[in-house]
Formats: sequence, C-alpha cells, structure tokens
Amino acid sequence: MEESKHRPVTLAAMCRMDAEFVGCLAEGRNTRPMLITALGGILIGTLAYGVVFGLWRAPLQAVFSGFKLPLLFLLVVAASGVINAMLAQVMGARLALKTVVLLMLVGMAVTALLLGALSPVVWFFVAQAPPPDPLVLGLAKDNVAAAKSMGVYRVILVTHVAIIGVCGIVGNARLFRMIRAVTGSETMAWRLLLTWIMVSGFVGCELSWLLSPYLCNPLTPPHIVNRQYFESNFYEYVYHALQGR
Amino acid sequence: MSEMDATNGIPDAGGYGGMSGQGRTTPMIAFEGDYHAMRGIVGGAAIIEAVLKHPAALVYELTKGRGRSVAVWLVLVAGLCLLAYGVIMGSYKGGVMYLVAPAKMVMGVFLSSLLCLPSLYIFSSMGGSRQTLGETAGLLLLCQALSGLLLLGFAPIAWVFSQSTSALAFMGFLHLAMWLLATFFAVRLLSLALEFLNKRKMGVLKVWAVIFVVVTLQMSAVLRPLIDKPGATLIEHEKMFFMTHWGRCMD
Repeated sequence: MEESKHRPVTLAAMCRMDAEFVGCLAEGRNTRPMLITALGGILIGTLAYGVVFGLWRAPLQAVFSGFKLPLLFLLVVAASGVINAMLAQVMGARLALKTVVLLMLVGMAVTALLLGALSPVVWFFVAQAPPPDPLVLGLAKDNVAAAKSMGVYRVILVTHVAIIGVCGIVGNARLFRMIRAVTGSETMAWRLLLTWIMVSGFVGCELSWLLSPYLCNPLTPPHIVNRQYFESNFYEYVYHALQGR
Repeated sequence: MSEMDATNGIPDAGGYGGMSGQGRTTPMIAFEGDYHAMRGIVGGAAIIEAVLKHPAALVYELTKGRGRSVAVWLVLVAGLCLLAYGVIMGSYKGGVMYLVAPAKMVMGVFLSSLLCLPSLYIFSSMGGSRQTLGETAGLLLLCQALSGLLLLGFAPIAWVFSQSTSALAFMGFLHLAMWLLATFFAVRLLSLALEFLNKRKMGVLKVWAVIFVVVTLQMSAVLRPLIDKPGATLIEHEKMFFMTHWGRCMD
C-alpha cells in the first residue's frame, strides 16, 4: 500500500506534475505506464463528461456523446501528433515523436480528468434545467413554440463550452510546464506550446464539428453524427456564417 | 516553504490559529503543535472537542491513525448537528416540518459533499496534494463536522428568530448567512489541513470552495421547501435555478 503511493506514474502524480513524473517524461523512462495512465485518464474523464454533456437532450444522446468525446480527444492527438513532432524538430527542439505524443496525451489527460471531476457537479445542474419539450421536435429554429427549449439548450451548450474551455486552458498550462521541463527552455516551451495549440486547435475544431452534436438541439432527434457536416468543413461554415448566408 | 519549515518544533498551540502564548500564531503553527494522535479512546465527546480545539489531531488520525473510526464519528457528529439544526429550521412552521427539515438538511449537505468530492480530489491533486481519495473524503467530513457544530452553535439564535418573525424571506436569509459563515470556517479548515499536510499553498481550493457553495445553494433549491410547509409533495418537482427560487421567495 505504501509502495503504491510512491509510484512515479499515477493519475494523481500526473495531476500534481510531480518532479519525478516530469523527470520520467524528460528522460524517457516509464513511457509505457505513462502512456497507459494518460490514456486511462482521457477515457475516464471524457467518458464521464461526455455522458453528462448529452444527458439533457436524451439518454441516447448521452451514450453517443460518451462515446464521441473520448474519440475526439484521441483523434486530435492522432491527427496532429506527427506534424507537431516535425514542427518541434524544425524549431530546434530535439523531441522524439514518442515524447511529443506523450506530452500531448498527458496534457489532454489533465483536461479530461478535470472534466471528469466536474461531471457530477455539472450533471447536478443540468438535471435541474427544464427538460426539452418533446412537442418542439421537428419545428423550425425560429418557431416561437420552440423558443423556450432552444433558449435552455443554448445556455447549457454555452456552459459546457465554457467549462471545457477553462479545463483546456488548465491542461495547456500543464503542458507548458512539461515542455519547459523536457526542453529546458522557457522560450522554446512557449513557441512549441503556441504552435501545437494552433495545429491541434485547427484540426480539433474540424473534428469536433464532424463529431457533433454532443448536446443535440431539441428540434432534432438524438443522433450520432450530422451527415450534412461532411458536405463542407467547419471553416467554410464560419465563413458563410460571417457573410450571413 | 520557508514558512512551513519555520514552524517545526513549535509546541502546544491548538485551535484555528487565534492567539497563542504572547503573540498571534499563524494557522500553520497552530496545526503543527497539535499534529499527533488523539489521546484515549475515540468517542463522540473527544471528537467534538478535537474538531473545535485540536483539528490537527483529527487530521493526523484521518491520514495516519484510526481513520475509519474517526470518519464514522465525524459522520455521526455532522449528521446529528445537522439534524438538530434542521429541527430548529422546522420550528418556524412546526408540524410535519419538524421531521422534514432535518431530513432535508442532512441529505442536502451530504449529497452536496458527495457531488463535490471528485472535484476536491482532482483540484487538490492539481494543487500538489498527496492525499488519497479516502483521506480527502475524511478531510471533507471533518470540514462538514465543523460546519455542523458551528450551525448547532447558531441554533439558539435561529430559534429565537423563527419563533418571533413570520417573514419567510428574512428567515431564509438568516439561515443562509449562518450556513455561509459556518461553511467559511469549515472550508478554511479544509484548506489549512491540506496545505499543512502538503507543505504548500493551495489557491486552487478557493475555486473548489466556490463550486461547493454554488452546489449546496442549488441543493437547497432542489430540496425546497426547507422552511415553509410543503404542498402536496415533500419536494417541489418544478426545476429551478436557486437564484430564481430566491427571487420568488423575495416576491
């Protein structure tokens, strides 16, 4: 029991960013348990939060979101890990692909654990919100009868986005500390962090767009993905939205 | 860190960091002096005294000593204090509220603690805490026991007002003010205990404290009515944010 408290690679050690944990990361020790721990943290945290995310709309949507949120986190790492490692090399930080992926996963795991820890609290508040009116299913967005349910939907959606945003900031702050420890340079850590945020953010927006809805508005039945989203990308949508189309 | 190191070897200073000896001690020094096993058998009176005067001894027991029995006693102390305060709350309307208010009070506080335990564990871990989930839960129980005892201390005042006023909104805010004050000291104790055990400041606990307060306030709206007589059912089923509920009470 006492021994287990002093294992360098645990979820708690990852949250604390223990010197020993960061040391393992910097020296490439214990990479396998670190990878398993980070993946475990991502799965537990995002699964819990994903379920809470979709729960307001319907239990089925909760199941869909519980599946999609972990997938989103892992897909972002899968899609941007290689280019982030290449950029790190080009920018002068001699980080192996394994290290870069591990750093990204640990940063994501911290975000996911925070989300998971907050999920009981968020569930409690979501459970108090007025449920979606089943009679508005199929109505147009601007229909007056749907205004109340859509209003609650928007508030819940914005709240979820804000919570995920704050947890993401904390996760990136931890990522910065890890990069600084691994590279030994604060300037390099800032450069890498900003570059990685831009790359992962760029691909992350598109992936989250493709995997949406997580909450699902009350006008449509619960569904796993929106096929329309595969006809254009997130940035096209933003461009058209800005033009008022 | 240096502040912590400087506390080593300071003997016999208990309580929550008030006056000790000739000068004012810092809370950390107060903790250092009492951080040892409780003397004798763990029992109700000893636990109540320790919660109020020597909380560090309970922190020691929860983390290194008789954690399980101390935790059971803390649950009992907190539960009984909340039940007693609930009876006082119920005395405003009387009748069935003598039973309903204490039950809701205990349920509300323990459910809120349960909902906030995962975030306390992760937040404190991010702040550098080395405590396990069980130890963190024990410290949260200590915090609730102190809150319950302080509420019990306020109970006579609450009773005087509940017998002499008919203004529901006033009573609501009086109970709220007492609960907030008790919670302030309770969360402060939790923060001190975690900072003492880990020899570092934990500003992140302030964020958790806000979450805990908001959750408990919402719980009070979920379990409403707490003071007024219930209607057809013991709990109103209309879902409502606590601010809306308060607004209606004020009207």
